[in-house]
Amino acid sequence: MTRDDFAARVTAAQGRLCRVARGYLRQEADCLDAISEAIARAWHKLPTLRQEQYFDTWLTRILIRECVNIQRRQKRVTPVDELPESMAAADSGGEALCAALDELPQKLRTVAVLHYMEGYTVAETAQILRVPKGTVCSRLKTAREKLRVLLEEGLE
Amino acid sequence: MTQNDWRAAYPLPERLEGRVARVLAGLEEAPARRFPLRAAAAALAILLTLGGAALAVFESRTAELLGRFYGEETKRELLSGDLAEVGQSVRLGDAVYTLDDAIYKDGTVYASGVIRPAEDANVVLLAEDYSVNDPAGYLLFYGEEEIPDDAPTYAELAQERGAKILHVDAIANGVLEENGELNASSIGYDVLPQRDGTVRFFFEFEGGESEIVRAEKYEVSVYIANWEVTPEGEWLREEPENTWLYEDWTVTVEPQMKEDGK
Repeated sequence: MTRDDFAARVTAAQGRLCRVARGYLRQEADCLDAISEAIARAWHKLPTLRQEQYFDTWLTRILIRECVNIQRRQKRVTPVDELPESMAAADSGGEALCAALDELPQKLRTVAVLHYMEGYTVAETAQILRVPKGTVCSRLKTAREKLRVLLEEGLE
Repeated sequence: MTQNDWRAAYPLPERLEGRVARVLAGLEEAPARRFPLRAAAAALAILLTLGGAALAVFESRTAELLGRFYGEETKRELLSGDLAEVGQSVRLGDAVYTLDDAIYKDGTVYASGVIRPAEDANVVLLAEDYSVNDPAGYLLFYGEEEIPDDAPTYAELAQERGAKILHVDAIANGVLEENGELNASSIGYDVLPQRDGTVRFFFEFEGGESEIVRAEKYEVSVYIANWEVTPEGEWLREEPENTWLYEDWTVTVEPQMKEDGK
């Protein structure tokens, strides 16, 4: 894969990368940092990618690792109340869903974002997260149930 | 609900395109080195020694490991938590997983262990994020460790030994509550290949919907898995050549509670 090919594929994936990062990190700056670091890391690791058809899932997995690393660092060094800007608020159509997603435990939010928002299949989601497909299915089911309750509560 | 409805929940920031473009413009012309290394806070060469001989006196390898990543202060903090020497092992196919020790500190559980080839197995272990063409046993993403040009790759090592290549994973699921539910969120983990052919792993997590409370005993659930990888790097995880083994391994952890611990 040439540098131009790499840039084109990353550029095409930037929206997805940002939404996946948002599933882990609430601050815009953190999401952009995670994406930047994941792109740089992926470029350095590109020679280790043998099957280009897995580029998207491979890059997503690298991004998730960066997001978790940022979460870990934040636990140690950054008082939450000192964090600056949050991600831009969703418009009214997505606001309720955004709030409901934020209420989900991380594991459930991640599978919901990967599967429903980004369209990864159950098998692809399982590969990205390195968990069995059955685990993805059960998390999706639980995520749907919790989201339904949260959205109904929001409407009341 | 359509995919667009879902995506409306997370609108993209205006700065995204510019940021990505800047990162792409700043990349080196080519990933030039065969084994790219990335500067990091830790001098992880020392970690390589952690997979060696058993320690005569219990010292928390978990605290040692995380101390290398995050500094002495972190190590001291962890050592002030409730430490548990575990040493429990389980075999899954051709690999043996051992959880060395765990720490409970301020609602977070930290633990580390090692994955070894089973005694009667002829396998070369491959850690997550590493390719069969990477130099066997070297850390690639943390320190500035020198890697000899003639270091064999995992594929070469396996060929030399007539061994299978086995991708191994060990990731925390969380703490099993009394009602059988798992409790965890923000699970962090990493796996570190060692020069002796083992793979060290560590993880940390805090509670999900409820805080993990300080206790005399925890049931920690760990997802362990392995599958064969061909010398060409193909994962044998699909039928008809499915070699994927996995299970949720429950480990009982009994820390020594510190009097002033939280």
